[in-house]
Amino acid sequence: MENLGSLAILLAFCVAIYAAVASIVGRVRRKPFLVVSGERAVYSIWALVTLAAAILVHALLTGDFRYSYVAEHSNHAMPALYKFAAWWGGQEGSLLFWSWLLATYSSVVVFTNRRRHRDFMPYVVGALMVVQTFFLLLNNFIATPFKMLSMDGRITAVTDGNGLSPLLQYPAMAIHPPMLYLGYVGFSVPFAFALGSLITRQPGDAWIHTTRRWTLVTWLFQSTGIMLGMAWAYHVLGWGGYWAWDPVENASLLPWLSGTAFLHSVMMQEKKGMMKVWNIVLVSATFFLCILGTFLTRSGVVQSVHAFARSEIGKYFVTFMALGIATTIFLILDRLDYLKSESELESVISRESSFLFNNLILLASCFAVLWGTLFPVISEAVSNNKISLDAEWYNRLMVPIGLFLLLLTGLGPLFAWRRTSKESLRRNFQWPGIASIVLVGALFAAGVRHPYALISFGFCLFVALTVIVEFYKGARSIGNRNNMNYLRAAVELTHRNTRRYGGYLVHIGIVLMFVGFTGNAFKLSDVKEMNAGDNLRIGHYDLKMVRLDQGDNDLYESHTAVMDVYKDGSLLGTLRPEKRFYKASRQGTSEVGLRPRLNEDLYLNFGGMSDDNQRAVIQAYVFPLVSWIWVGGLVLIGGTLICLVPSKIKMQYARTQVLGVVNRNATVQK
Amino acid sequence: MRPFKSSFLALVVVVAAALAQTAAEKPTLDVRRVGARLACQCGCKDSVATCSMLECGFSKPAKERIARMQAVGMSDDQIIQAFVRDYGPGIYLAPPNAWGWIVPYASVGFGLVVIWLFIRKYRKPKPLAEIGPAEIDDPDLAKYKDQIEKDLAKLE
Amino acid sequence: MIIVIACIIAIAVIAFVLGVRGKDLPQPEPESPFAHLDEKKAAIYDNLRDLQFEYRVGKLSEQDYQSTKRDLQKELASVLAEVDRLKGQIGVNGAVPPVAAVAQAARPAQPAAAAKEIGFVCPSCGSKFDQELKFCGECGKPMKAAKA
Repeated sequence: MENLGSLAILLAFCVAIYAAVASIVGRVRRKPFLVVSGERAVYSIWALVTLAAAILVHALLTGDFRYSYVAEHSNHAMPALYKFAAWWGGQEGSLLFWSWLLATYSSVVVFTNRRRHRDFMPYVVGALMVVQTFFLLLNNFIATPFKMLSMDGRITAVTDGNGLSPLLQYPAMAIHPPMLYLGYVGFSVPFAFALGSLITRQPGDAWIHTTRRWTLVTWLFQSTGIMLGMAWAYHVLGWGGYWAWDPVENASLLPWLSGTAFLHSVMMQEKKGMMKVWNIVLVSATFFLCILGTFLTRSGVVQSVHAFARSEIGKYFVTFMALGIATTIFLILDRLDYLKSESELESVISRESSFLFNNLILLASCFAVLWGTLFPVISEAVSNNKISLDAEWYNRLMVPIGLFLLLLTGLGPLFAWRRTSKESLRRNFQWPGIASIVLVGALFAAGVRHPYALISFGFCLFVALTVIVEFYKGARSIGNRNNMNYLRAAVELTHRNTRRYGGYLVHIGIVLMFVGFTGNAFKLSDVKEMNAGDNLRIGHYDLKMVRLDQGDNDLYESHTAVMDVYKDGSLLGTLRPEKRFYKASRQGTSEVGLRPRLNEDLYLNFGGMSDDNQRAVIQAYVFPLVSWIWVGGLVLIGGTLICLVPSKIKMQYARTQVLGVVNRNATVQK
Repeated sequence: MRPFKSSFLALVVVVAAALAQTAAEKPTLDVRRVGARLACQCGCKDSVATCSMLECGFSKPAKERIARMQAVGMSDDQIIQAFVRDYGPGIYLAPPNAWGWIVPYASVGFGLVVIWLFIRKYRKPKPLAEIGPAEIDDPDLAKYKDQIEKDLAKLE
Repeated sequence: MIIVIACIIAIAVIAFVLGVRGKDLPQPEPESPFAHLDEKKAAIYDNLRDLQFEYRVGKLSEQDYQSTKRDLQKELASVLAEVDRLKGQIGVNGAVPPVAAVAQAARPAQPAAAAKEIGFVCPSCGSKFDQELKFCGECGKPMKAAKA
């Protein structure tokens, strides 16, 4: 079996090289047979990598501990879900997963475009297959998942494996990596289309129209992946945080930030034919940040909780990225004339300018995070000084940037395309602005003194109001013309232009998330060593430890504190924070006791036993508003899904009538 | 006087030890601040403050030790000196130097310059106030007017 | 046993990849040489529609509305002029017989005829339609490219 797996990925590697060469040569030499053969190669790669993956997953599920990968990342006692999740739990498996996703995406792209874009599809396939070749190279020669355990030259099996890291044995964590990877891999497609379009100097923005949905879906996967990571950190790590500026968290944030910038600036090209170079740069940057993200997670350059593997894989990534970036830069510089802007800025006070600033802030935050992630490495390499940037550093830098971004979220939609007179601006600005100032004043009077919190709440209200006003005005106009009630009119409005109003919903989601982030400024915490019968008071809550339980099963041993929660003397419920010790991997984890409510979460963590092993160390936290982060995340997902629904109204206008089949290459020279 | 002082110190150490137990699990801001300047030696490449390994053999006792030292009033520098004495200079993690701060802000400034150049390059020279009639004035294009009007009526 | 399976897989892959026959070549969807201009036109109409809507809900001042509308109309007119120029250049109206597309070299080039006002005729089955259709309503073959 294992030989079959090795053969499949080796064959896939050869076929990937063939696919890249055949597609590009077929296009350059105008040999349609070669191009089609290259496309068939793509399907074959998918079949081969699927076969290899199936063999690995089968070994994981059946517990074939002759495989060193299975022995390291699985064990008998694990539930089947986590045995399956072990596919992406370690380096070799997750790189195979990457390859498999890319092969799947490539096959879908080739299939859906089998009759379209014949002019530049070969280059798209070529670009995808170069990336595929790189990852299959890693699968075959650097991190092969089909390495067997051997002793004295004979393959042997261990009796049981080490098991998946217990921190990862959590439902959200089982699907967090695939979500992020779907996002990482997905950006290869718009990037490949951009390159294909650039190489063949396509007139128009076909690559943007074709990949619009890809980009949105990919962005949705990334957002979901990041949210799941935050939820996991909050629920599992036991310190109540959801974001620690861990290098691997940063790695997932980087392409998300540049991808968000791309989603916005691409509108400039669609609406006005501007910023063509910039969009190619952004989509390329996002793709390479995705590769960098995989690299950071898998190379161990900047170690952290996720990067449990260290290997020689780094220099391959660096070489690949250096070559890729150099090629992309060369192509862009070589074809600058083709990417010339079609129109001009009518006015500085316009939607266009607001997009410029949106891009600036998103990219500045992307760069700041990148800098923070790599600075310790750079510094050590250059001056041999070891440096550490703590969360404090990021917060000081990123909180003002984040708030400014929030403000722009509200301001942008107030500007009209092309030009906005001061009068229109004042009219749109007035009421949301006044309401926000009133809110800040009221909060200040109520005793809130935290400056960032005040600013954040003010901006949140401002953005929310501008979006609500937008919906209200549109719904009123449609409702009055068509005699509908406002709710139906709002649905109608959204259906007519799903991208715009779905986008507004995403903004609302971001606002709700900021509300949740801001709640962090008001958190309470306390720690106490407790025995049965002891009390602890935090915020409005009185906690009483009822008893201390001990448990033992195949997977882990556990201590559980049973805590009654009272508020104003009445019992609200019972929480059971737990400390587990996993036997296979000899690691401990926390299962927190959580009472989530929209206004605040009560969060209890079992820290450990005291020195004399008599009392439990209980860490109690109150996190105001934190649930809004998850609510906001769901709204964001919903808004993005609405963006994916086709708009109801199709343009009605005379299309240019086309007669005969025409050699388009002869027609488009300007 | 003397016995009193030593018993006081002993008390301080006992209290500190009690505090330290919990400090390791939930380091205070003070402990995190000092811990961020010390490299964890468990192989994680993180700092003592950020090492995320549970039950870490190095960072956990180190955090307790920092808390004990702070409880007896040692300054951050003294604590770091003590660690450097015990584990060698390799343990010290410098705070970000000026580059760490300047570069992100410089990038924002650089971006603003780029935007300014962009606006200057693509800004139409025509002033906003110059508003002509809502007609197509170019005679070459006038012939398309009818078709446009017809199409416009069909919108929505 | 494993060796046999391995050989079968390898041979199957090679046969599938290299065995491209003439009839396996995809028939590309006809692409209009005006596609990019139509795209541009669509974008401008889209902008105009948005502009009208924003004006109606009161987000724009009269002045902004009028001047932006005029700009958009100008742009539209220049796109239409470009379409006409292109038409003249490639002789869409029957002046020059069009050349077969590269990707279609394997198949006989379709005859192109130009006659407006008659309606749209499917090149495959000959059905006639009043309006332009992407695909024939009778036989379902693409008919955007050719009409009589």
